[in-house]
Amino acid sequence: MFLEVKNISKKFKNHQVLKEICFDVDAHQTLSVLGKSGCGKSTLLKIIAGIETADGGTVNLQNQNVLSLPAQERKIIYLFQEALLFPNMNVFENIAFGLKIRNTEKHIIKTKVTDMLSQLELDGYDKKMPHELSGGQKQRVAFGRALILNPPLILLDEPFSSLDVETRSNMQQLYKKIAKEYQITALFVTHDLKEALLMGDKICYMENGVLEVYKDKQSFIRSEKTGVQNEINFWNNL
Amino acid sequence: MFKPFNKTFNFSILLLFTLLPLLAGLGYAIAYSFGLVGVLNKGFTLENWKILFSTSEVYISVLYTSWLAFASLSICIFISLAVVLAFPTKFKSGIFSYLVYMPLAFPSIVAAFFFFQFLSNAGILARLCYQLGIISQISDFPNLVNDSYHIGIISTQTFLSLPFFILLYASLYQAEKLEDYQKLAYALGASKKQTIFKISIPILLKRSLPSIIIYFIFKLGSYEVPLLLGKSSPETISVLAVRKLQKFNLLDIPQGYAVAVIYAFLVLILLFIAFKKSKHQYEV
Repeated sequence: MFLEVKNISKKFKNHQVLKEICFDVDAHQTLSVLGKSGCGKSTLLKIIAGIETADGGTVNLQNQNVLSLPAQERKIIYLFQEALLFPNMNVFENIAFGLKIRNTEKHIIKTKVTDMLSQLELDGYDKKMPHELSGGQKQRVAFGRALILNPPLILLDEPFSSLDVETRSNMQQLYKKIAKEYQITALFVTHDLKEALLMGDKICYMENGVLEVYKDKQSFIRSEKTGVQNEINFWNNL
Repeated sequence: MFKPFNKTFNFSILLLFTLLPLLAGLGYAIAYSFGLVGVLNKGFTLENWKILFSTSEVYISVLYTSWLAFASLSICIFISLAVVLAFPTKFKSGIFSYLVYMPLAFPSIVAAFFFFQFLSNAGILARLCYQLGIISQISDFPNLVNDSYHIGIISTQTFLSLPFFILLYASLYQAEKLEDYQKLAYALGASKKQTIFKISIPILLKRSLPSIIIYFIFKLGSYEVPLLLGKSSPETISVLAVRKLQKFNLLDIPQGYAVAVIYAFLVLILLFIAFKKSKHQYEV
């Protein structure tokens, strides 16, 4: 198994945020994590990324428990809800950041960033500063900045939640295309039912710190608590 | 319906209480320096400006004033950045959030007197060193006020500016979500050092640039500290202008106004740069 999460727990003061979370993800698959705001989805991602500590459990990535490693040694990229482009750098410098700090040679950086800009449909935007970009373009740059490092695992924390409907849809399509091309393994956290279904190869549902993994999309759709049945009934009764 | 009236009224108030007195003052200074007004002036002349620029006094004064402002601001920015990045949440609440305001309560003249008492070669620090046996005689202590290296002035200016910059950077740290950027940089593989020098410091400096320029202007105009703690030569622009304006020789007054005009234009240029920079501030 590529990623194996076992019995992860987390308590903030008296509030048990995560209760014995267990799941696994195959290589090159995206697992959607659906849940309402405040149910513990982001905390789970932050623990896996190394930004937050767990009270107990293990996270095995490619058969290595990474929980004891600092964030920068895990090689896991966490993408925040906001694009968080470094405001002191232009688009090129933002995408090249990870390569530059690894002392990659200049000509390799130039080739890789130019290719990435093309993949992200951002040709000609290399000199633009973050404030000159739209919300969708910022998210694409944030993707590029993560993807260029070819990380084994990407954690996406509601990356499209601040975008308008059309941009969101475009970004979902672009993500699917890039995920396939780059063979990405990812956890995709969202509170949007449709997005969870669209983005994930596998889906799980989180409620009050408890995670339920569905073996396939059909069992997710049939489940009462995921809200899919309510949604279907709503559209049928219109 | 009342909007146009309100706009005109607001502009009139702004014009009356801020722009008009400033423009009138500047206009009077220009007119005086060119001999158009003033008791002893006899009509338009470039003579006062020629006399002023015939010696190196005014050039040295501009450079000296700029150097003092630059040196004290650089030290102040360095210390405040280090403090805020080391203790980012210390100034949000608790004892530190009160202590940091303390120097702001000192008027420049009081701070100047304090540093005079503290740093002079018979001052508190000299006596302390003598009591600790670091120096054999009090007079062995180096003179740190009215000195050639301007240590007294720079120390006092730094002391007075430090709380402003600590508070500025502490609030920018929160407002700019610097903690999120740092976490992101770590996740992308950056070390702590790389995160500080490539992310935290550049973001804080870029964001604070207009404030730095405005504070630089404020420091250019400081009068009491260089007057008390500086040498008689060179003089800062303010000290030079006041000396010329208040000198016994009334014929020097137009030159005093000319110095004030030079200072005003220097400030206007810097203000223009500051506004241009703040206009180009980024949003994320």
